[in-house]
Amino acid sequence: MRGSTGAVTVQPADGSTLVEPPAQVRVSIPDGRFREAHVSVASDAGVPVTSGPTLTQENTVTVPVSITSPGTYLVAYHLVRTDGHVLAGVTRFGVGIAPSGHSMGHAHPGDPINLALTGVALASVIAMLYVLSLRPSARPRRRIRWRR
Amino acid sequence: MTVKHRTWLNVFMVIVLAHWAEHLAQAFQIYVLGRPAPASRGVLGQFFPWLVTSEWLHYGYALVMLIGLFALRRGFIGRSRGWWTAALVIQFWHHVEHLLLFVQAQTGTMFFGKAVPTSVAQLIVPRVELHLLYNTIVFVPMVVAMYLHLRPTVEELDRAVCSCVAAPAR
Repeated sequence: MRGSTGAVTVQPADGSTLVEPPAQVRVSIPDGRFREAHVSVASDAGVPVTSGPTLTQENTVTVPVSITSPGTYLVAYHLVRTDGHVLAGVTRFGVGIAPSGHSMGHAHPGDPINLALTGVALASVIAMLYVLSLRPSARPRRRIRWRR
Repeated sequence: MTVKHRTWLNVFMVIVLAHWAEHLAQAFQIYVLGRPAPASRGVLGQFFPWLVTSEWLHYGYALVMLIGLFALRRGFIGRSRGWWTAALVIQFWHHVEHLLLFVQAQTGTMFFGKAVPTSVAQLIVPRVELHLLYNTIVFVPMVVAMYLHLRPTVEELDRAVCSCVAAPAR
Protein backbone atom coordinates (compact mmCIF):
# COMPACT_ATOMS: atom_id res chain seq x y z
CA MET A 1 0.00 0.00 0.00
CA ARG A 2 1.44 3.34 -1.03
CA GLY A 3 0.68 6.84 0.06
CA SER A 4 2.06 10.17 -0.92
CA THR A 5 2.61 13.26 1.20
CA GLY A 6 3.45 15.97 -1.27
CA ALA A 7 6.61 14.88 -3.09
CA VAL A 8 7.25 12.08 -0.61
CA THR A 9 5.93 8.55 -0.88
CA VAL A 10 5.49 6.55 2.30
CA GLN A 11 4.71 2.85 2.57
CA PRO A 12 2.48 1.90 4.38
CA ALA A 13 0.36 4.80 3.22
CA ASP A 14 -0.69 7.62 5.50
CA GLY A 15 -4.02 6.80 7.14
CA SER A 16 -4.04 3.17 6.01
CA THR A 17 -5.20 0.27 8.16
CA LEU A 18 -3.26 -2.96 7.85
CA VAL A 19 -4.48 -6.38 8.89
CA GLU A 20 -0.93 -7.69 9.31
CA PRO A 21 2.03 -5.65 10.58
CA PRO A 22 4.54 -4.58 7.92
CA ALA A 23 8.11 -5.89 8.01
CA GLN A 24 9.47 -2.58 6.82
CA VAL A 25 8.59 1.04 6.19
CA ARG A 26 9.80 2.81 3.04
CA VAL A 27 10.05 6.53 2.43
CA SER A 28 11.03 7.75 -1.00
CA ILE A 29 11.06 10.79 -3.25
CA PRO A 30 10.27 9.47 -6.74
CA ASP A 31 11.54 12.55 -8.55
CA GLY A 32 14.84 13.24 -6.84
CA ARG A 33 17.71 12.14 -4.64
CA PHE A 34 18.56 12.54 -0.97
CA ARG A 35 21.52 14.38 0.38
CA GLU A 36 20.45 13.54 3.91
CA ALA A 37 17.62 11.38 5.25
CA HIS A 38 16.30 10.60 8.71
CA VAL A 39 13.32 8.31 9.18
CA SER A 40 11.91 7.05 12.44
CA VAL A 41 9.04 4.68 13.08
CA ALA A 42 7.39 4.57 16.48
CA SER A 43 4.15 3.73 18.22
CA ASP A 44 1.80 6.59 19.01
CA ALA A 45 3.25 6.45 22.55
CA GLY A 46 6.62 7.39 21.06
CA VAL A 47 8.23 3.98 21.42
CA PRO A 48 10.53 3.15 18.46
CA VAL A 49 9.74 -0.08 16.62
CA THR A 50 12.80 -0.13 14.40
CA SER A 51 14.29 -3.63 14.34
CA GLY A 52 17.50 -3.21 12.35
CA PRO A 53 19.77 -0.87 10.45
CA THR A 54 18.19 1.59 8.05
CA LEU A 55 18.98 1.10 4.38
CA THR A 56 19.41 4.35 2.49
CA GLN A 57 19.54 4.29 -1.29
CA GLU A 58 19.51 7.11 -3.81
CA ASN A 59 15.92 8.13 -3.26
CA THR A 60 14.55 5.53 -0.86
CA VAL A 61 14.97 4.89 2.84
CA THR A 62 13.95 1.46 4.08
CA VAL A 63 13.47 0.92 7.80
CA PRO A 64 12.94 -2.64 9.08
CA VAL A 65 10.34 -2.72 11.84
CA SER A 66 9.08 -5.19 14.40
CA ILE A 67 5.45 -4.59 15.30
CA THR A 68 3.81 -7.18 17.49
CA SER A 69 0.78 -5.40 18.83
CA PRO A 70 -2.13 -3.62 17.18
CA GLY A 71 -2.19 0.15 17.36
CA THR A 72 -1.34 3.39 15.63
CA TYR A 73 2.21 3.82 14.34
CA LEU A 74 3.94 6.99 13.21
CA VAL A 75 6.49 7.47 10.46
CA ALA A 76 8.50 10.67 10.92
CA TYR A 77 10.84 11.78 8.16
CA HIS A 78 13.25 14.61 7.57
CA LEU A 79 14.76 14.54 4.12
CA VAL A 80 17.17 16.93 2.46
CA ARG A 81 17.20 16.72 -1.32
CA THR A 82 20.37 17.22 -3.30
CA ASP A 83 19.04 20.64 -4.31
CA GLY A 84 18.86 21.59 -0.62
CA HIS A 85 15.07 21.42 -0.35
CA VAL A 86 13.89 20.04 2.99
CA LEU A 87 10.94 17.66 3.19
CA ALA A 88 9.68 16.82 6.65
CA GLY A 89 6.54 15.30 8.05
CA VAL A 90 4.77 12.61 9.99
CA THR A 91 2.37 9.99 8.62
CA ARG A 92 0.34 7.40 10.48
CA PHE A 93 -0.85 3.92 9.80
CA GLY A 94 -2.80 1.48 11.88
CA VAL A 95 -2.18 -2.21 12.50
CA GLY A 96 -5.40 -4.05 13.31
CA ILE A 97 -7.19 -0.76 13.96
CA ALA A 98 -7.77 2.51 12.14
CA PRO A 99 -4.97 4.98 12.89
CA SER A 100 -5.87 7.72 15.36
CA GLY A 101 -4.71 11.34 15.40
CA HIS A 102 -3.75 13.64 12.59
CA SER A 103 -0.77 13.43 10.30
CA MET A 104 1.42 16.43 9.75
CA GLY A 105 3.04 17.44 6.52
CA HIS A 106 5.48 19.39 8.60
CA ALA A 107 5.68 18.24 12.18
CA HIS A 108 5.02 20.56 15.09
CA PRO A 109 4.39 18.24 18.02
CA GLY A 110 3.11 21.05 20.20
CA ASP A 111 1.72 18.83 22.92
CA PRO A 112 0.66 21.27 25.67
CA ILE A 113 1.99 18.99 28.42
CA ASN A 114 5.38 18.78 26.72
CA LEU A 115 5.40 22.52 26.17
CA ALA A 116 4.45 23.23 29.79
CA LEU A 117 7.09 20.85 31.15
CA THR A 118 9.69 22.33 28.83
CA GLY A 119 8.72 25.80 30.07
CA VAL A 120 9.09 24.72 33.69
CA ALA A 121 12.44 23.11 32.89
CA LEU A 122 13.69 26.23 31.11
CA ALA A 123 12.62 28.43 34.03
CA SER A 124 14.31 26.04 36.46
CA VAL A 125 17.55 26.05 34.49
CA ILE A 126 17.54 29.86 34.45
CA ALA A 127 16.82 29.84 38.20
CA MET A 128 19.69 27.42 38.81
CA LEU A 129 22.08 29.54 36.75
CA TYR A 130 20.96 32.57 38.76
CA VAL A 131 21.50 30.71 42.05
CA LEU A 132 24.95 29.55 40.98
CA SER A 133 26.13 32.80 39.45
CA LEU A 134 24.99 35.01 42.32
CA ARG A 135 26.62 33.01 45.06
CA PRO A 136 26.53 35.24 48.15
CA SER A 137 28.79 35.47 51.10
CA ALA A 138 27.01 34.81 54.37
CA ARG A 139 25.80 37.45 56.78
CA PRO A 140 23.67 37.29 59.91
CA ARG A 141 20.07 36.29 59.38
CA ARG A 142 17.00 38.51 59.34
CA ARG A 143 18.11 41.85 58.00
CA ILE A 144 20.17 39.92 55.49
CA ARG A 145 21.32 41.60 52.31
CA TRP A 146 23.19 39.11 50.18
CA ARG A 147 26.05 40.34 48.11
CA ARG A 148 27.55 38.89 44.99
CA MET B 1 34.37 17.31 53.09
CA THR B 2 34.80 21.09 53.11
CA VAL B 3 36.37 21.85 49.75
CA LYS B 4 35.39 18.55 48.17
CA HIS B 5 31.68 19.29 48.50
CA ARG B 6 32.01 22.62 46.75
CA THR B 7 34.14 21.13 43.96
CA TRP B 8 32.00 18.05 43.35
CA LEU B 9 28.78 20.04 43.62
CA ASN B 10 30.09 22.34 40.89
CA VAL B 11 31.05 19.35 38.73
CA PHE B 12 27.63 17.81 39.32
CA MET B 13 25.89 21.05 38.37
CA VAL B 14 27.87 21.24 35.12
CA ILE B 15 26.72 17.71 34.23
CA VAL B 16 23.10 18.42 35.16
CA LEU B 17 22.99 21.72 33.25
CA ALA B 18 24.70 20.18 30.21
CA HIS B 19 22.04 17.48 30.19
CA TRP B 20 19.31 20.13 30.32
CA ALA B 21 21.05 22.12 27.59
CA GLU B 22 20.75 19.08 25.32
CA HIS B 23 17.04 18.67 26.10
CA LEU B 24 16.33 22.35 25.63
CA ALA B 25 18.24 22.32 22.34
CA GLN B 26 15.94 19.48 21.25
CA ALA B 27 12.89 21.49 22.31
CA PHE B 28 14.20 24.46 20.31
CA GLN B 29 14.64 22.26 17.25
CA ILE B 30 11.10 20.90 17.59
CA TYR B 31 9.08 23.94 18.63
CA VAL B 32 11.04 26.82 17.09
CA LEU B 33 12.75 25.28 14.07
CA GLY B 34 9.76 23.04 13.38
CA ARG B 35 11.73 19.87 12.84
CA PRO B 36 10.08 16.46 13.31
CA ALA B 37 10.87 14.99 16.72
CA PRO B 38 13.00 12.11 15.36
CA ALA B 39 15.20 14.63 13.53
CA SER B 40 15.57 16.80 16.63
CA ARG B 41 18.45 15.23 18.44
CA GLY B 42 19.95 18.12 20.35
CA VAL B 43 23.57 19.10 19.78
CA LEU B 44 25.52 15.89 20.45
CA GLY B 45 22.78 13.81 18.84
CA GLN B 46 23.26 15.63 15.55
CA PHE B 47 26.79 14.24 15.37
CA PHE B 48 26.20 10.99 17.23
CA PRO B 49 22.57 9.98 16.48
CA TRP B 50 22.96 6.66 18.29
CA LEU B 51 23.29 8.57 21.57
CA VAL B 52 19.61 9.55 21.52
CA THR B 53 18.37 5.96 21.51
CA SER B 54 21.14 4.49 23.65
CA GLU B 55 19.75 2.88 26.82
CA TRP B 56 23.35 2.89 28.11
CA LEU B 57 23.38 6.68 27.97
CA HIS B 58 19.93 7.09 29.54
CA TYR B 59 20.65 4.60 32.29
CA GLY B 60 24.16 6.00 32.81
CA TYR B 61 22.84 9.51 33.34
CA ALA B 62 20.13 8.27 35.73
CA LEU B 63 22.84 6.46 37.71
CA VAL B 64 25.14 9.50 37.78
CA MET B 65 22.22 11.60 39.04
CA LEU B 66 21.42 9.09 41.76
CA ILE B 67 25.04 8.81 42.90
CA GLY B 68 25.53 12.58 42.82
CA LEU B 69 22.38 13.32 44.80
CA PHE B 70 23.26 10.65 47.36
CA ALA B 71 26.94 11.51 47.73
CA LEU B 72 26.43 15.26 47.98
CA ARG B 73 23.48 15.11 50.38
CA ARG B 74 25.68 15.19 53.49
CA GLY B 75 26.74 18.74 52.73
CA PHE B 76 23.17 20.01 52.71
CA ILE B 77 22.26 21.30 56.15
CA GLY B 78 19.02 22.67 57.58
CA ARG B 79 16.28 23.83 55.22
CA SER B 80 18.08 22.67 52.08
CA ARG B 81 18.40 19.05 53.27
CA GLY B 82 14.70 18.26 52.85
CA TRP B 83 14.56 19.60 49.28
CA TRP B 84 17.72 17.73 48.26
CA THR B 85 16.36 14.55 49.84
CA ALA B 86 13.10 14.98 47.92
CA ALA B 87 15.10 15.16 44.69
CA LEU B 88 17.04 12.05 45.75
CA VAL B 89 13.87 10.05 46.48
CA ILE B 90 12.27 10.96 43.15
CA GLN B 91 15.52 10.21 41.31
CA PHE B 92 15.73 6.84 43.03
CA TRP B 93 12.41 5.84 41.48
CA HIS B 94 13.39 7.42 38.14
CA HIS B 95 16.54 5.30 38.23
CA VAL B 96 14.49 2.13 38.92
CA GLU B 97 12.40 2.94 35.86
CA HIS B 98 15.54 3.33 33.73
CA LEU B 99 16.95 0.12 35.18
CA LEU B 100 13.83 -1.72 34.02
CA LEU B 101 14.25 -0.26 30.53
CA PHE B 102 17.97 -1.04 30.52
CA VAL B 103 17.46 -4.69 31.54
CA GLN B 104 14.83 -5.19 28.85
CA ALA B 105 17.01 -3.57 26.19
CA GLN B 106 20.06 -5.63 27.12
CA THR B 107 18.35 -8.99 27.55
CA GLY B 108 15.79 -8.63 24.77
CA THR B 109 13.13 -9.77 27.23
CA MET B 110 10.24 -7.31 27.31
CA PHE B 111 8.07 -6.83 30.36
CA PHE B 112 4.33 -6.20 30.69
CA GLY B 113 3.63 -8.05 27.44
CA LYS B 114 4.97 -5.14 25.39
CA ALA B 115 6.95 -5.31 22.17
CA VAL B 116 9.50 -2.74 23.31
CA PRO B 117 11.22 -1.85 26.62
CA THR B 118 8.55 -0.43 28.92
CA SER B 119 8.76 0.90 32.47
CA VAL B 120 6.03 0.83 35.13
CA ALA B 121 4.86 4.43 34.85
CA GLN B 122 5.07 4.15 31.07
CA LEU B 123 1.98 1.98 31.27
CA ILE B 124 0.12 5.21 32.07
CA VAL B 125 2.22 8.05 30.62
CA PRO B 126 4.05 8.00 27.24
CA ARG B 127 7.82 7.70 27.52
CA VAL B 128 8.86 11.11 26.25
CA GLU B 129 6.45 13.03 28.50
CA LEU B 130 7.20 10.74 31.43
CA HIS B 131 10.96 11.28 31.46
CA LEU B 132 10.61 14.99 30.85
CA LEU B 133 8.31 15.00 33.89
CA TYR B 134 10.78 12.96 35.95
CA ASN B 135 13.73 15.19 35.03
CA THR B 136 11.71 18.30 35.88
CA ILE B 137 10.37 17.15 39.24
CA VAL B 138 13.86 16.03 40.25
CA PHE B 139 15.42 19.31 39.15
CA VAL B 140 12.95 21.75 40.74
CA PRO B 141 13.68 20.66 44.36
CA MET B 142 17.39 20.67 43.46
CA VAL B 143 17.09 24.35 42.50
CA VAL B 144 15.36 25.17 45.80
CA ALA B 145 17.94 23.14 47.74
CA MET B 146 20.80 24.91 45.99
CA TYR B 147 19.23 28.31 46.67
CA LEU B 148 18.91 27.53 50.38
CA HIS B 149 22.31 25.84 50.54
CA LEU B 150 24.07 28.87 49.09
CA ARG B 151 22.05 31.28 51.24
CA PRO B 152 22.24 29.73 54.68
CA THR B 153 21.03 31.25 57.91
CA VAL B 154 23.69 31.97 60.50
CA GLU B 155 22.60 28.84 62.36
CA GLU B 156 22.94 26.75 59.23
CA LEU B 157 26.29 28.31 58.46
CA ASP B 158 27.54 27.41 61.92
CA ARG B 159 26.62 23.79 61.24
CA ALA B 160 28.01 23.80 57.70
CA VAL B 161 30.40 21.01 56.82
CA CYS B 162 31.37 22.44 53.45
CA SER B 163 32.89 25.57 52.00
CA CYS B 164 30.16 26.24 49.46
CA VAL B 165 29.47 29.57 51.18
CA ALA B 166 32.33 31.62 52.56
CA ALA B 167 32.26 32.11 56.30
CA PRO B 168 31.11 35.59 57.31
CA ALA B 169 33.45 38.10 58.82
CA ARG B 170 32.76 38.23 62.54
